[in-house]
Formats: sequence, C-alpha cells, structure tokens
Amino acid sequence: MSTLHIVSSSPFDSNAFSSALKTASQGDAILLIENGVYAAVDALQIDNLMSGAMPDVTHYVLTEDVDARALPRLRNNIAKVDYAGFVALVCQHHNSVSWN
Amino acid sequence: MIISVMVTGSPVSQQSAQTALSFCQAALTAGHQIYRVFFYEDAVQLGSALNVAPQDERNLNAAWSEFVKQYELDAVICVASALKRGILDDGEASRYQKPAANLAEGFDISGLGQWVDACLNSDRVVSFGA
Repeated sequence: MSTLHIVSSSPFDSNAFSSALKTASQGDAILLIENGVYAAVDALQIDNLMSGAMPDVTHYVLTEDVDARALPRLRNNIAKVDYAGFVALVCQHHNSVSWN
Repeated sequence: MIISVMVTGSPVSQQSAQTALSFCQAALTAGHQIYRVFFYEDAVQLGSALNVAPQDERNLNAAWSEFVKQYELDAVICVASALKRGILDDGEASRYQKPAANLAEGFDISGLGQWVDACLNSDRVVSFGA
C-alpha cells in the first residue's frame, strides 16, 4: 500500500515539503507541483531539508510548473513528469495525500 | 481506472483549479474514467456564471464549464460552501427568496455525501487546493 505525496506549496512558505518527507515511508513517492516545485531546486537549503529523509522514496516534479517558473538547476535525485506522468503516478500508488 | 477529484482552492487566487483541470484532461486522454469532480470551499466560485475575466487572462470558470459539458462529467458544487458564497441554482434561489440564480451550465449543487459516494466508488481520489 504505497502513497503518493503531492506537495503544492513552496518549502520557503510552509512545512508541506518537510511534512511529506517525514511522513513518506518506503515505496512512497513525492510529487512536487505548483509552488512546491521550488523544493526541486539544487540548493543548500533543500539539501538540509532532505538530510535524514527516508532513502527509498522517489521524488518527481511537474515539468509544466518548473517551466512556468523558469527554475534554473534542479537537484539530480528528482525525475520530471508531465501531466500524463502525474496521472500515471496517481494510478501506481494506492492513495494520494495533498500537502499544502 | 475510476478517478474522482476534489477541488478546494479559489480560482482567482490559487493555481489549484487550473492544475485540477489539466489533471482531469490528462486522465481522460489516458483512458481513465472520471466518476465525479467535487468543488468544495472557495473552489465553488468556479460554478458561478457571472464572473468576468479580463480579456488577456484565461477564464477558468468558462474552461471548467466547457470541459464538464463536453465530457458530460458529474460536476458537483458543495451546497454549504456555495450558499455562503452566493452561488445558487434555481431551486436554492427560490427556497431562500433570492432575486437570481447564477449556477453555470454543467454543474450541480449537492451535498458532501456526494464526495463520500465518490470515494466509495472510485479507485483513486485526488485533492487539489489548500
């Protein structure tokens, strides 16, 4: 029973991303959308948030929202998906939780 | 798969109504079935037929209304959220003796029980908005 954690607010605005990191268990996935995509940036602050996070959780980011914000460099442990990939992730996991 | 979607974010100040629309379009394109879209809290503003969008901005209300009509989706506006925000169908307008109804085409006003029913009858549920 795996869960898809959908994070839609910036890690600089809310604890949504941290909460998802803390809650996700082995086999879960985290998908960053809307302002949540700021957690995909390759930056020291994000590395700090990620330290101690569960290792077997795959991270994804929604390409459309990355492009809309013209984000420069993404961290290399994250995969880009489009809306079709978003739908596929929802289907692959038994449940989804939306973090704001 | 059978998917239901809840939208809670305001269409004028949050991205979630746009995200939910793109998600639903992608789900149908992938061959999935959308059992119900449930609009709750500030997202019920999407059910108003009276909003006017600036010419250089996307009219999300119209986009959602067109989408649910085109695919004959079950699009439910939560009655408690709607009445508080002045979204009324003909029945509610006459019940509360209001001068007009403004529910856009393609939407129905109903209760939270419809969301419980959607959860029971769907393989997956996804929520968009705060």
